[in-house]
Amino acid sequence: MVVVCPKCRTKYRVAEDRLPGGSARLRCSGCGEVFLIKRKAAPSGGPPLGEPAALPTVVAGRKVLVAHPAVSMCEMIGDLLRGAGFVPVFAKNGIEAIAIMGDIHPDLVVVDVALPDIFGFEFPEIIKKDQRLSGIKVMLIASIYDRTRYKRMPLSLYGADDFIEKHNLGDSLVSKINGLLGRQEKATASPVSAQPDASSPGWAAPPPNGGPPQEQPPLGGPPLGEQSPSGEPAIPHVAEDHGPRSGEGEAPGMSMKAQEVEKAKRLARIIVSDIALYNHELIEQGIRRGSIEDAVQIDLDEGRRLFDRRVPEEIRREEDFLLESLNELLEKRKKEMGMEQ
Amino acid sequence: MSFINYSSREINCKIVYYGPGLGGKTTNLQYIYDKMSPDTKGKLISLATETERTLFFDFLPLALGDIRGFKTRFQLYTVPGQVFYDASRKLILRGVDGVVFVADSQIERMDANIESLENLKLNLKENGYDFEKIPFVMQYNKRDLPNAAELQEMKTILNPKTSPDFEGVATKGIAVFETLKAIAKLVLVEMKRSTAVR
Repeated sequence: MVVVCPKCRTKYRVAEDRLPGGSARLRCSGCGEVFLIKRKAAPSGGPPLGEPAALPTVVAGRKVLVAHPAVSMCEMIGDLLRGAGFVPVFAKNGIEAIAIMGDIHPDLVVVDVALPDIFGFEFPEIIKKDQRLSGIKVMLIASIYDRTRYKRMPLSLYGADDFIEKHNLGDSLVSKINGLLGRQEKATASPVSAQPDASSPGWAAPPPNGGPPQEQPPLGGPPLGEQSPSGEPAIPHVAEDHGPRSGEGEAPGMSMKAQEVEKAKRLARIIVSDIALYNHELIEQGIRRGSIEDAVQIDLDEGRRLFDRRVPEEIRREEDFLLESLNELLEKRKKEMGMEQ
Repeated sequence: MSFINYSSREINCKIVYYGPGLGGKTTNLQYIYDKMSPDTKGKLISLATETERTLFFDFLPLALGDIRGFKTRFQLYTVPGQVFYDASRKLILRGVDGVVFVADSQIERMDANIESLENLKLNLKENGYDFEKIPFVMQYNKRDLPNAAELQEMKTILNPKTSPDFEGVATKGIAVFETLKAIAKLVLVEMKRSTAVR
């Protein structure tokens, strides 16, 4: 579980099984404040010992990344998740979120659709393409127009596993997450894990500037970044450097080059999307004939010129982003036309 | 800036509808054109090539009164929305007096909205205008679609300088004239201000 120093707000991970009698006093290594910590009470109405655990217990301790630009929203969602036994980690923009996903591989990410830098609805595609992120479930925090004027289901979730509207977070978020992770649990038949918390809660404030170094590790766990007693790597502070690391390539989304690549992909997607919007019928005809290049050649050439002007050659050498984006579009359109291979 | 026709004693104000492809610029213009009284409007001209399309028409609103004895004639233009037809957009912005940005509210078009707005800022700059100063109105179009982004998100992302903005459904005419009136007002205020300085 995570406790927060009431004086300086420094956060600590505490293994609940190391609290004799369910409580202990903790001295904050940042400010010296001594405060009482208590083991969280088991949720009322929970199953008696020996009985099969209900879903909230099954998924307890699993990491959920909350990616939202509003701190207040993160705090609200964080409280909901902690109350259900999850370990929330937070990111305030898309680049940070992707980097954190690469580092800690959360079980699920709850992401705002209009997340700055990388929109939430782009996450499923990014996860699909990056093996390191494989298996991470995505729940979109959907946008709503006006809850009184229309209330229809979204046409597409862009590959996400579920969505939730902001005003339903309080009453439905936990049950939706339980549903997603619970189903996954049954499907994979993996052993149930009820590990003690093994992460920092994110947004973790670094020790105050100029403050004394931590003389003792926070009770119940090693300093951030070291191995936890469970053998699971503790999670570094979310704002740490996520630059390239040896043997692993670049951390997703964080290096300058990765950002340039992301920009190039985005521009390619906009160009192809415009070609598709303005040439709907021509593209369908082209697909039936087996080649669309001729049908949209003029637009493609214009698009390529713009792309070459805007994207540095070094990035363009990485891959043919336009072609990649065009192929994705074609695959999608083929599916819509019932021409799936 | 505005073209003054001394023989007809008219000031021509050029308003450009800008925005991402298929966001509703043309729908706005066509709705306005259809509702205009035939004796005040000119012909709707489509400057279309094989692949790109620009619409244009002008009208003389009778109710607006004069500026120093000159009537104001509004010329409305759309630009090609495709991201790669930038040269045409740049050209059409020449001599612009006011810009309406028609944003597509569909969440999957947010990238295109951002790209188009950035492109507008750049093209205004290259034509010698300052985006911060030019009369500007934002219309969030397609608000009736279920995949519309939340309004506050769109405002935050697209309209940080809090220009006048409207929620529109151009196909039904919702907010089309409100948008036009707002930009016309800003353009006239700016025109009066600049003529007073001289």
